[in-house]
Parts: sequence; C-alpha cells; structure tokens
Amino acid sequence: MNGLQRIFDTARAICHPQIGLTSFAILLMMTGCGNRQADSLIELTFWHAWGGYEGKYLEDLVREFNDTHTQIRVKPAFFIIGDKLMAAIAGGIPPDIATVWDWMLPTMGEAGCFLPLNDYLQRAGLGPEDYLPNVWDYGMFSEKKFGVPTALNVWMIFYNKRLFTEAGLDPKSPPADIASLTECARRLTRRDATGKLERIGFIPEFQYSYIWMWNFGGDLYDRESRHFIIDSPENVQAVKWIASLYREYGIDNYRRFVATFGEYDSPNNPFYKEKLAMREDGQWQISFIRHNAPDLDYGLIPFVSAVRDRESQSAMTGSFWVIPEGCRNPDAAWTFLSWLIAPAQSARFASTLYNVPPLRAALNDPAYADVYRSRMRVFIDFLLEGRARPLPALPIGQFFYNEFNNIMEEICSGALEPEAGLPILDNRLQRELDRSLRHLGITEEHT
Amino acid sequence: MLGKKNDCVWIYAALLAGSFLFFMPFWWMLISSLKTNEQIFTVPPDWFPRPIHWQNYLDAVTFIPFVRYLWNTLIISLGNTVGNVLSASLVAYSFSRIPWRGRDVCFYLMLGTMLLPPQVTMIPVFVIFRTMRLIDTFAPLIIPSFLGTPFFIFLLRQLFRGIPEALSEAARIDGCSEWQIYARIIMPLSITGLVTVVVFSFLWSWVDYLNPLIYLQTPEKFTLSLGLQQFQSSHALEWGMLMAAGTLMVLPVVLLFFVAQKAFIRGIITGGLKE
Amino acid sequence: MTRQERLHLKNGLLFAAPWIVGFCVFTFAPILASFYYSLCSYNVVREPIWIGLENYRTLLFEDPHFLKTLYNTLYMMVFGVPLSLALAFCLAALLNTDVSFLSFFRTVFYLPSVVPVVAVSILWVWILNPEYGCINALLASLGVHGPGWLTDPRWSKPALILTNLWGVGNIMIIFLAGLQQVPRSLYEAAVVDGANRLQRLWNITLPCVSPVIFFNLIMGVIASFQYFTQVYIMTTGISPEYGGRAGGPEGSTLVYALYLYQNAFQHFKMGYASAMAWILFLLSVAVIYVILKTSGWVHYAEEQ
Repeated sequence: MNGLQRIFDTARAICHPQIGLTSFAILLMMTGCGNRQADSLIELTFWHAWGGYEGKYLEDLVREFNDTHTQIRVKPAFFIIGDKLMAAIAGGIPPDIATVWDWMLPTMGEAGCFLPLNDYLQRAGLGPEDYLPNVWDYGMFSEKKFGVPTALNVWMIFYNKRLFTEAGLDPKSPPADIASLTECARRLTRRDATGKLERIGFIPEFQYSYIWMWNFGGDLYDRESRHFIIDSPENVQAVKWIASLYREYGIDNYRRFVATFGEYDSPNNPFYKEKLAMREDGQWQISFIRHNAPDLDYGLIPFVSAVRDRESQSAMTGSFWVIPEGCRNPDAAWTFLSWLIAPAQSARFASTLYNVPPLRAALNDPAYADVYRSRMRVFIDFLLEGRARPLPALPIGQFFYNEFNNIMEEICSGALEPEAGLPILDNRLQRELDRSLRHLGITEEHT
Repeated sequence: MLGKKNDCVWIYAALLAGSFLFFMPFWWMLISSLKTNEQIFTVPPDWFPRPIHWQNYLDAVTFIPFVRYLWNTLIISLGNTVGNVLSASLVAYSFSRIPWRGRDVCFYLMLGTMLLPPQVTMIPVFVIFRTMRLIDTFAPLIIPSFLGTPFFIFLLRQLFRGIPEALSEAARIDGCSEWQIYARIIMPLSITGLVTVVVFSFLWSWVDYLNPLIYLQTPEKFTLSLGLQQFQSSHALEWGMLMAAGTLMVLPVVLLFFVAQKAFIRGIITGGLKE
Repeated sequence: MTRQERLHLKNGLLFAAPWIVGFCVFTFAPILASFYYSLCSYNVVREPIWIGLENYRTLLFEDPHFLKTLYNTLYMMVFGVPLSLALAFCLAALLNTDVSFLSFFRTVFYLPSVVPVVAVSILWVWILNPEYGCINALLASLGVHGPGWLTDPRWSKPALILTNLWGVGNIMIIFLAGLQQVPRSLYEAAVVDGANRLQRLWNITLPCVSPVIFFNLIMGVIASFQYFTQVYIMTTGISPEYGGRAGGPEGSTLVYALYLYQNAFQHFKMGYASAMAWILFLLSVAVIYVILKTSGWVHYAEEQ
C-alpha cells in the first residue's frame, strides 16, 4: 500500500488546487489586475432540503444575510437528503453548510463527517437552558454537538371530523384510550363487497411505532449503559396491539391499499382523500392542509397513553444544520449558521414552515406570534411540557432505522410474533452498536 | 426455420401479440404523461387521454432543469464516445495487428476483467479520483473511456482481425510506420465498426446511473438519469409528471436508435456472436 | 529477440498503452486496495483501521441478511435468466421467418433495450401499480384479479423479472443473428428426411445456436450477480409508507448488490462492503466455473 500511497500523494501534489491557485494568484499580481474586493469575499455553498415556497423563503433569508454581510456570500442549493451528502464528504468536496435528518447526525458525526460545534456554541453563549426541553441532547451521542437543529416537528394523530360524524362517532370527543382508539379505527374502516379496503380507520406506521412503545410505558435504549431495552414486556404489548391492527386489515390488503395513495404534499394525500380517517402526522400538516385541502375539517389527538395516570407521549423529529468536515471556511460557515439560528431568523423560518423553533427566545418573537396563536399551540405546549422526545441518538442511525422497520414489518405481516421478534431486533442492534463503538474507538479494542 | 405458408397466420398472430405487449409500456407512459391526476387515478384506466393535458411537461421541465441536464449528459456522452473510439481502436490494433510477445496474455487478462464485478473496484476507484480532486467533475465519468473499455476493444479486435494481413505487410514493406497503417489503412476500412462503437458508447453513458450517482454532487452538474431519479425520490407518486419527465428522457435515445438502427444491431451481433 | 520482434513489442505496448495504464490504475491497484479495505474498518472519511478477517466472519456467520440476499439474487438468476433466454429465443425464431414488416417487428421488440434504466424502473413501478396500473387493468378485463406485484413479497421478484423481460431485445438480436447463420441446407435435408418441426428444432436449430445460448447464459449470470440499479429505484420510491427503504417488502427484493450498496453508502461500512464485493466475485467465478464445466451441450462448428 505504501507504493500506492506515494503515487496518490504525488498525484495529489500535482493536482492540488492550491498550487494551481497560487500560480494563478502570482499571475494576477504580475499582470496587476487582481481584484482586492473579490479576494476577501468568502463564498459558501449551503445545501438545504426545502423545495417549493419553503425553499424560496429560506433563499430569501439567505439573500438578506448576503446583503448585510459584505465579507461572505452564501450560495444556497436545494438537494435531497440522502446518499449524495456522504459521497460529497467522502469525495473531499463537501458543501460548507448542509442539512441532514436527525437519525443521520450522530452516525455521520461520529464517523468523522461533521465538525463538532461545541466551541462555537459555547462562544455564542448557547446552552441547554436556552433550548426547549429535550432539545439540547437531541441528536447527541457522545459529548460532541455535530449540528444545530433547524426547526422541530411534533407528532400527533390527525382525524377527519366529517368521517367521525358519518360513522356515528362524536367528533368532539376523540378516543382517549387504546380500547376506544381501536374501536374507532374499526368503525371508521370501510371495505367494498369483495373485502377490498376503501378506507382505513387508523393504522400506526412501522417507522413511528416507537411512539406507541413509549405510550405503553416502554423505551428503546438506555443511554447510561449504552444498551438497547427493546424487548421489554411493555414494548411487546405495544407491538402486539399494532400487529393486531395490521392483521385485522390483512397485510396484503393493506399493502395494495397503500399503493393507491397519491403524493403526500398534494391534494391527493390519502388523508384529504378520506382514505385514512385518522393519521399520525407532524404539525406541518396544519399548513399543508391549508394549502391542499382548505375545506377539510380535522381535529387533533395528542396520542393516547396505555398506562393509567400517565400522560401520553409523542415524538420530536427534525433535521440539523451541519458544517461538514473539509469545509474550507468553518468560521464563516458558523457566522452564517449562527445568524440563521438566531431567534429573529429562526422564528421567521419556523413560522413559514409551521415548525417549532428550537430556541425558547424565538417562541416569543413577534414573527412567530401568529403561528403560536394558531392550532400550533397544542404542539408547542406538548414540547414545552417535555412530552415530545426524539429517538435515541445512535452512531448506527440508518442501521437502526432499517432493522427496526424490517422487524416491525415481519411482525405485522405475521411472519414473527412480537415475543420472538423484539429480542431478535434488540440483539441485532446491540451487536451492531458494540461493533460500531469498537471500530470508532469509543470503547476499547477487543482482541 | 422454413415454415409452410399456412403457418404464416400463426406467426403473424404471435408477432402482433408480442408487439402489442412490448409497445404497451411506451403507450402507457405517453398517455399517463398527458393525464391530469384525476384521470390518472381512475379504474378502469382511460386508454386515450381526454382532454390532452400538457401541464405535466411544463411542470417536469420546471422541476428538472431539463436543458441543463441534457447538456451535461451530452458532454459526458460525447466525451465517452471520443475516448472509446480513440482508445479502443488503438488497443484493438495492438491486440490484432501487431504480433508482440505477451499480447495474448494481455488480451485474455482483459477478457477476464469483464467478469470482475464493478463493486470490487468501485470504492478504491472513488478514492483514486478523490485523491486527484476530481470528484464532482465530469472527469471520473469520461477519463476511464480514454483508457479502453474491454467490450469495445474486443469488438474492434474481432473486426480488425478480419482485414487481410497482406495489406499491413505491403504497407510495412513500403516503409509505413504502424501509426500510418493504423490511421490510413485499418481505420478507414473499419468505419462501420467504429460507428457501432460510437453509438454504443454514447448510449451507455447516456443511460448510466450508478457513476453519476457516486461522482456528481452539485445539482447543476447532474445528468438526465440522475436528475430524473432525484426528482422521483421527492415526487414518488406524481405519476403524470414522472411519466412526462420519463418521456422527455426516452425521446432522444429513441431518435438516436432510428437514426443509427443498423449500427446498433451490427454491434450487438459482432459483440455476441464471434467467439 | 530479433530487431523486428523488438520493434513489434515496442509498437504493441505503445498502442496498447491506454489499456495497460487503465488496467493498472483502475483495475489492478483497486483490486489490491479493495482487498486491503475488506480487512479493515473503513468509512472513507477516516483512515482504514486493520481488523483482520472480522468483516468476512461477520458477513458469513452473523449477518442475518446475507443468506436472504443470496437467495434473492439466485432466485432472480435461476428464474430470470432462463426466462429471458427463452423469450428472446422465441421472438428471434418468429423473426427468422419470411414474413413481411420484419424490420418493424424487430424495432418494436428491440426498442425497450435503449430506454435508460432509470426511466424503465420508474415506468414499471407505475405499470405494476396494483390498482391503477395497466397490467392489472388488462388482467381485470380478462377477468383475472391481478396480484399486488411490487407490494407483495410473493410477487415482487416476479414483478422485477417481468420488467427485465421487457428489455430482452439485446439478447433477441444476438439469437436472430445466430439463427440466420444456421445453414439452410441442413433444414432442407431434414425436411427431405421427414423430420417434423419439433425434431428440426431439437436436432438442428438448438445445437447450431448452442454457442449463442451459452454466451447469453454467461452474460445473463454475470448481470444478475451485479443486478442493482433497477431494484434500487423500483423499491425505494415504491411507497413512502415503508420509509423509503429499498429492498422491500419484507426484504423480498433485497438483492446482494443492493445490500452491498446500502452497507457502503448508507451505513458507511466500506470495509464490510469490500468484503461483500470479494465474496460476490468468488461466487460469480464459482458459478461460471460450474457452467463452463457442464457446457458439454454446446456444439462448436468446426473452423471454416
């Protein structure tokens, strides 16, 4: 490998942009047409994940930054969060600021993809108490903060009031416990003469079934001991309930039915089309419904708890802004980021998206007042009460996500029983986590 | 297989049924691209869009910077074409017209590399291009074609071997260098084969997906395939728009096929039949 | 070495230089590097860390998906390759007659092969839609209740094979060329001997085109080991309800190359992915070796 490495190094030296740049600069100086202004201008590329009017608004914010900061020019670009960012970082040509989903943050961060922002945050005087409950630790596996949250989402059950009335249910008193939720789901479900599904009352999605685990009193992961606790009796109960719904509809029927759904962010969303009477969704739906189905009469159920005398729990999800490893000008990138996450900007951005700004100060910003007064209030209060929390931050995020869904799918299709499936899941995740920690050098090397 | 004349009916029936099935996906794509969402989500489907709805094409072109991606794809495809014609003809010339020691070993080694799954070399090749700071440029998508693609080398070698050796001998006696024999005798005699190389290397880089996926990061540099896939991953269920974008993407290659039909078929036959 | 030989060697190497350079830089060195990575924990961003055979051990003995992905890949191979060869052969046989409009039919059968794979994949997801797709609409008009195709773990692999069958034009053309090279005199003699259609097919056509079948078989096997793009696109976008995971439902379309890609570019385990690539290479060599060893049925015509 040494010989090979040397060839690479030579090639790198030849192709090094700085050598090219230096000679170019010398050339410029000799010809005397160097532009001093241009030399000191720092250009940053900013990959964000918002299309449509949301993206336009974000790009307006960026323009405002560019107008007020003469030293830095930020170039925004829309991209789809996925494999591309990893390839760009691995390829040594990352954007200066990028956006990632929450489950990717600790995985890519611990793998060395992002710069830790601890020092920057400290210098900016930002600490746990400045954020809403559960937000400071959000996405943090070790002590390193690899990103700052963009805006927060909270999950609830949206229900169609018209369909409730039609089914003889009272839209003013939605289900408040598991039994009545199951009963409502049954009564709202409709099939045609051949048994084909035409409407589903309620079905928890695989990927969010951890919310139900919480509501049944279980948990996923113990942060202190770095151990998964997915195979607990509470979780088995939760999954049994979820599986019972799937088995009642029939997994094949369900899958065929799902294939008839239209685009999520369009008037063809199955919830607007009354194909789903109740649906787990994030608070942005308030704004989506306003755009796509303004006449829809809907209500909100803040999940239901299966444990007596315990408040229901919900999930917090979202994305993060990161400065990738290999960014040429981290200080300038942070200057931009810290401007973007400041309460004034954060409040405006979150109000456009109908998201919740992560900083407490932003909640009371005048720019957010209208949104705060709207139906968003329920979601925000949920966050303030600490009842919405994120998935555990893990250095094996995508792996967790894939395996969790694989096993849930197998259980719901009847291939596995919950009592057997959850220990398998627990075991697989634990083995992968241990292996990953060992390879990352977080736990000591085994021999 | 020498059929009797009264078999013809059955053969026609089979051919017509086959053509119907093979053509239907194209028709389905076209009509879906011309329907509104309401028309798309109907059971049973309309086999003719009424009325024709052009909006999907406008929307698709707005979402995907079509002209830009077309241009990128064109540059990469042309780069590949030039690279493959140059490199494959040179190497094939060496493998077929110059009797040098070790030639056959090299040739079989080359055939062997065709069995190697690209997954084996994918990551290290990525690292090499990173070391050369060429990620997010067209270079990783074009440079390899200048270093010879085994299939094209093989194809041209078969062709060059069919040209009588006496021609080369006579030229050598006349004092021609190998370069002159290559450029003045072999190449002009192999125009048809070279056209095949042109067509196929153009087509293959036109349809390539995995390499642009790995090497191109900035959206302005995407190719059509990559652009369409990225569009799909954010609008997976907007069928009208997806089909419109798909139709726009298929059109150029179908046109290319009609222009160069002969070269296509000859290329497949030469590649598949000999040896 | 004579002067002539030295000159030839010099020229030969000079003309072959592009390939020699390409082989060294883009094939040979990467093979070595890939083997080294397969013995490391490596995520491309950080330097590789040597871990010996752990990747291979984990893959072969612990990975719960390894056998499943092999099964899926072999399924696609065992059913997909013979089916596409058979269909291509039938189409070629139909075209190898004296009917008119031949070039029209040939064009229709061949055209799908030039469609970019991304477009093919997206188009077929829509064609195979259980409710609004045209296949199930056609089946319904025949009174058949169509399956769920990509949404049903029992039908997802057949759905992918069906998609592949649309692109058999390439193979068909090769068969067609092979069929046209079968000497007509053989058929005429057989007709004189009173051989019926089936006997002529079995005793003349198949032996004569057996090298072509063999070639297509090898190519098909290689392609199905590397089968990736289509399944990646067709199963990722299929339903956001599955959280955008490729390889579903229930892992029924998680083929080897797709799992390799996920490990490399989603779980950032390049070392593990390299180990997978090496196992893939060994497997393909083994399968091709078996095919070569059992190729007694291939009849090569004597050199003219």
